Amino acid sequence: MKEKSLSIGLDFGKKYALVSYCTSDMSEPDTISTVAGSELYQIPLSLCKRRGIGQWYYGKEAETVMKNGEGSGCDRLFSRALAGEQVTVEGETYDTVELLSLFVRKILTVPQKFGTSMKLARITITMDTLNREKMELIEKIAGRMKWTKEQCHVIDYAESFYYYALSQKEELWLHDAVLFDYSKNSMCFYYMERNLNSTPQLVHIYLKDYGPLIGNKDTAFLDVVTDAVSRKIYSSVYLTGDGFDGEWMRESLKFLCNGRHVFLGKNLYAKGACYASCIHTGMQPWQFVYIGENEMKVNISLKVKDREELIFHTLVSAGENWYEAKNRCEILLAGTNTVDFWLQLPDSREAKIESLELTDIPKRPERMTRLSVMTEALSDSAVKVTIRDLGFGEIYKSSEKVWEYKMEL
Amino acid sequence: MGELILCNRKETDVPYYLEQNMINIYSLEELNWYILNHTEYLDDSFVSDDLISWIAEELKDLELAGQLKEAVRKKITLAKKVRLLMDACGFCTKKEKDEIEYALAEVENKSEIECMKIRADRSLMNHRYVMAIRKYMRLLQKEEAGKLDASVIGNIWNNIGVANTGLFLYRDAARCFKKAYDYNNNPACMREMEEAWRMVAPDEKEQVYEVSEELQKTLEDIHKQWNDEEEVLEAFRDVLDKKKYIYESNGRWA
Repeated sequence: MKEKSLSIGLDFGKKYALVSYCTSDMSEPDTISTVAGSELYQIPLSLCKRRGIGQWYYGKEAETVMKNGEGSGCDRLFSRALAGEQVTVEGETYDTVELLSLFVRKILTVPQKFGTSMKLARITITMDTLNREKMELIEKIAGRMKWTKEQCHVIDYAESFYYYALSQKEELWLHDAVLFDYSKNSMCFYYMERNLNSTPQLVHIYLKDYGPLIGNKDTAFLDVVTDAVSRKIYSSVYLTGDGFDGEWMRESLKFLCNGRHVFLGKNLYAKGACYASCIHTGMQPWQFVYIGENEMKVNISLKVKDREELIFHTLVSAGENWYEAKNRCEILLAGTNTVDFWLQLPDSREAKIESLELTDIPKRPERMTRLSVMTEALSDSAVKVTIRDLGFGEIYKSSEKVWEYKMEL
Repeated sequence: MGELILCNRKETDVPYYLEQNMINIYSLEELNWYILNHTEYLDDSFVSDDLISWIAEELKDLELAGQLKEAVRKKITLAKKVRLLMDACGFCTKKEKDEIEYALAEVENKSEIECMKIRADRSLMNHRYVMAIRKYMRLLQKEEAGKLDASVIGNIWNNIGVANTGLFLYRDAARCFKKAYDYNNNPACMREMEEAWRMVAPDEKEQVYEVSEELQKTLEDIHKQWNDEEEVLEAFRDVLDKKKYIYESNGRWA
């Protein structure tokens, strides 16, 4: 039997995790629910060990065990791991990063139960915002889970929304889509803009924070949506977050549903991340490029001879998450001591050249100087370039010379 | 204007050892450098199972390894197999690749002796004098060498002489040129011999005199024949020019 491949989206919230998955024979992702057949998707970020038994419980079950005093553990695993906390369980001290990895391992066994053994093609992890600490935490988890760089990616909620919205039927995003997220006592409004003149289409997601809903929530929300969506036609509106629980939306919902498709759900980000996994494994075609605050804004390439052809070898791709934008290649110098980097905006034909002259490079015959060229993004608009002389095997030993250059884009 | 050549594969941790030249090779680019600069060393044993395994296991280029395995199985010529290695990497230009392929094809369907001479000539052209001398001597020691035309043997001795001058071994060079002249009666070899003896230590003037005697006699005869200074000079020039003409048209090595 042919091995199925598995794409996963994992949403790390403050208190809950959500998991969506999609196999190669599914038409769209599904989300794991804590109760079969229900839409209870939120898995508490809790882990505990039942007293006297060496078994770990996670999620709702862990909360129940702890509540009944039958075991000990911890909740809010993600924020504790981010803070580098250590917890004591049954007299033993544990690193919360280790516990979070165990939690991830347990929740990811669930999709596997739905079919024969599956190979993990890609997992995309999503969270509200990204920063260096969160990226390093995910790197540690990926290391413990033995995921390769190609298997594991991280995006923020805005990017999850991008993947989710544009994976729906065309009529739902033809006039763009918007999202209201009321999960942090603050009404966040995400709206999408597509550049229809570029191929592939460049997409930007903008965020406006309307703050908490004061007083009558329905009235307050009506004011918000009137301001947010009146000036432009939108095909669909998505509502997510615990703040939308209860049936308080009346007038506001009536207003929203006038001429728009409206959807309410809590698994949008997990599903969006899962769509991202599917797209990058080639399971579904994609005609867009997302440029968000975490994405590189420019393409950086080298003009090189590849066998007998002159090509542009890409070191940095616009749309790539800058935290993950690291690349390396090796080249030979032929009749030059200068390395030219070609910088190009994704929606422009023009390119700017940044030349790096390799001063004091040892004199060698042509084509007998091998260089390692490494690029590492320092932000979405700055790249560090490191060039190292590798010599030419044993024929010319490396001089150990290194040239570093910071490129501001 | 220069260019950058992309290396498609990383350098290997475990090198491939080229025994003939005692060189460790860590990349496809270095292998191509070797092919470009040591073409005369390439023979059928070059594309060996060891090389193919190294390409598959260390270089991790399974496609190239597969192509070479297939080429070996189909008994494709050395020129074509080496072309596969050159095409897999951007080190050599198209012109270089064509020249190497042509040079390797040249030795296909030739007798062993002919191949040996071509390889020895290439070593000489690439200034690998010791290697060239070894190859020429090995050739002359072959049984089949006895069947070669005298002029060919003479040319081989001439080339050994040239290799010796490259090593500043002028006495040996002179002797080789003499041998060459004995076989092929080429005046250019005689000239080379004279020049080689001139480069030998000055106290060996006797040798120099003996060698130049023929030329000296010719010039004296001319002097006796002609009274007019101008006509004598004309005749001298004629003799010397003729010798120079033969030297230039034959080149230094044959």
